[in-house]
Amino acid sequence: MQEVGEMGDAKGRVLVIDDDPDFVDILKIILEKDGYEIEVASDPQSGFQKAVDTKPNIILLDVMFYAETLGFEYCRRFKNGADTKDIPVIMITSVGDVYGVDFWPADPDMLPADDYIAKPVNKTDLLDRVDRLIKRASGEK
Amino acid sequence: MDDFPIRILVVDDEKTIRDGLKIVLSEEKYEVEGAGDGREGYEKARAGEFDIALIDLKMPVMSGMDLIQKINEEEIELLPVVITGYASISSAVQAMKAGAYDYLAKPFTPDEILYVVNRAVETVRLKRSRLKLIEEREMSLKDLESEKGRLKTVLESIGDGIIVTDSAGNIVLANPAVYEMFLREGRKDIPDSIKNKIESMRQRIENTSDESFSRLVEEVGLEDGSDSVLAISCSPVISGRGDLIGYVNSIYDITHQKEIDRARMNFIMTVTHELKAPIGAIQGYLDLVLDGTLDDDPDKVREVIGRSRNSASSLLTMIQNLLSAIRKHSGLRKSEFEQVQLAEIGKQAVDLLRVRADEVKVEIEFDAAGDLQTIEADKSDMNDLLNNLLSNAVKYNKPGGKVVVSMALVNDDYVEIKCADTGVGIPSEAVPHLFDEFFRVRGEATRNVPGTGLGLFIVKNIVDSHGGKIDVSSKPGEGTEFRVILPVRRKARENG
Repeated sequence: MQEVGEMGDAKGRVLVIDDDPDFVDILKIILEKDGYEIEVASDPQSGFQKAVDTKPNIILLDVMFYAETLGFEYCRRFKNGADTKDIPVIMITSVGDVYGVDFWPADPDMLPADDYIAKPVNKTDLLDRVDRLIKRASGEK
Repeated sequence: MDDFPIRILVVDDEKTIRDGLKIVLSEEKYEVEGAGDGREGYEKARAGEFDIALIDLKMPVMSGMDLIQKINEEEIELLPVVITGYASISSAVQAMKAGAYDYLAKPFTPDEILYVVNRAVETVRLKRSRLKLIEEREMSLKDLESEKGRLKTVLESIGDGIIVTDSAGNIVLANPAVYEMFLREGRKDIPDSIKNKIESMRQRIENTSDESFSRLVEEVGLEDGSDSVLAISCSPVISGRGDLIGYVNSIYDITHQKEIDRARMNFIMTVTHELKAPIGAIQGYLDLVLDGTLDDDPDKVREVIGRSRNSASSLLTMIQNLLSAIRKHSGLRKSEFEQVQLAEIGKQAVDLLRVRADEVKVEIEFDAAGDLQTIEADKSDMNDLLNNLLSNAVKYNKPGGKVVVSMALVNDDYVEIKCADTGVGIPSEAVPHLFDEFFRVRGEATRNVPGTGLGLFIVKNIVDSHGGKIDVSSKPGEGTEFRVILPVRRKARENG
C-alpha cells in the first residue's frame, strides 16, 4: 500500500471520479501529459474504495451524478474518512450553470471540497490548482 | 282593480230579476251568470268559479235555503247573498244561520242591490288579497327552501374544498370536499398547516389598506409526508350593507400541476445537462488539439476527433428528438403518408448505430422478412421510430450484448416490428410510465446513459398517429423487447 504523498516517478497520482467517459478522457490526456498518474472511477462508491486502497495525492470528483447531491455527500465522506481526510478534493461542477447558483465556496461546511473547477475545464487552470493543492497537502504533512 | 274580475251567479226563477240584475251588475264590470232554480244554481256554483251568489229563497226543484246549506256543507268558495220577496226577520235569520253572507228584500232598487253586492265584493277582495299574501309567503318560503337546497347541493358537489370563516376567523362551514381532502386517513380535524394558512391569509386581508382587494391565493403543503400541494384562495365576504362578515376559502389540489411544473423543470435541467455534456467534450478535445497537447501523438489526435464526432452525432440525435417532440406537440408538422420501404429504413437505422454499437461491444442483428413490401406511412416518422427503438436497445445494453431487430407481416393488414435487446431491462414499476414525456428510468444501471426522456414518448406518438400498437416486455438485468404493430394501409378515417 502506498502512503499519501508518495509520488514515485510521477508528479503525483490523481483519482478522477466522473461518469462522463469523454470528460474523463480529456482529464486523463491533460494530466498524463503533465506527468501525473491517473486512476479512474465512474461512480463515487467505487471511487471511495479506490481512494482508500491506493491513497492518491488528489481526487477530482464530479458533482453531478444521477442524484444531484451524491458528489457532495461523497466529498464529505472523503473529508471525514480516517484514510482519506488528508487527500485534497477538487470538485468538478457544471451545476452552477444548470441551477443558476454560484457554487464557489464561502462556507467550507456547506461545501466541503478544497477547491472547485467548472466544466469544461481550462487546462492551465486545472493544472495550476492540482499542483498547488498537492504541494500544500505534502507541505502540511 | 283586481287582476281577476268578480263573478256573480244570480239564482232566481224569475227571468226578469235575472236579466235586470245582469244589466245592473254588468255595468259595474262584474261578470254575471244566471240560474233558473236551486239545482241549476248548485251545479253552476260547483262547476264555475263564482265569487258571489245572489240567491232567491223560494224556487222550484231546490230552495234557496237548501242551496245555501249545500254551498256551506261542501265548502264551495263563494259568498251567498239572499234576495227574497218573502222577506221576514225569521227567514233572514234562518238564511244567515245557514251561511248566507247578507240579505236583501225584494223589491230593491239598483242602488240597494249594488250596495249589498259591493259590500260582498269588498269581502271577496279582502279574502283574495289575504289568500294572495299567504300564497306569496308560502311561495317565498318555498323559493327560499329550494334556493337553500340549491346552494347546499352546489356546495356539496364542488370538487374544491370550501371553508367559510366568520370575520374573526372561526370556521363556520366546511363542505364535504374538505372532509374528503383532510379527514380521511384517520385525521380528525382540518390540519393545522391549513388552519394556520387560512388564518394568516385572513389577517393579511384584514390588515390590507387596499380597497379593491378581492382575493389572496397561496400555496400550502399538507406537511403529512405526502407530496400534496394545495392552493387556497381566500376572499372576504361583504354583506349588502358593505360590512365584512366573513371569508370564503376555496381549496384545490394543485399537486398534479406542480408535478407537471416539476417535470418541465426536470426536463429543462436534463436537456441542459445532456446537451452540455457532448458540447463540453467536443470543446475539450478541440482545445487539446489546438493548444498542442497532442502534437506528438497523431494517433491520439485521430481518436479524440473520432470521439468528438460521436459526441456531435449524439447531440444531433437529441436535438432531432427535441424538435420532433416539439413539432408533434405544437401540431406544426403533419404526417405525410406515402409508400415506405420499412426494411430499407430499418437497415439505415441499423447502419447508423453500428459505429456506436461496436464501441460499446453490442452486436446488432437485423432481419426483415422477404415478403415485406411497402407500408403506407410517414417516412420521417418511421425513421424516428426505428432510430429511437434501436438507439435505446444499444444505449441500455451491456458490453457483449445483443440487439435483434426484425420486421415481418402478421397478415395482409398488419406488419410487426420487434426490437429485442439483452440490456439492463426495465423495472416493472417503470413500465407504465415508459411512454410518458420526459420519463427516464433512474437508477444505477442507467445513470451513465445520456438522454432526454423523449425517445419513447415520440415512438408512442408515431405509433398512435399511424393507428398502430406498441407493447413492451422486460426482465430487469436480462433485456427488453418492444413490439410495434402497424397497419400496412392507412385507415381512411385516420389522418396524419
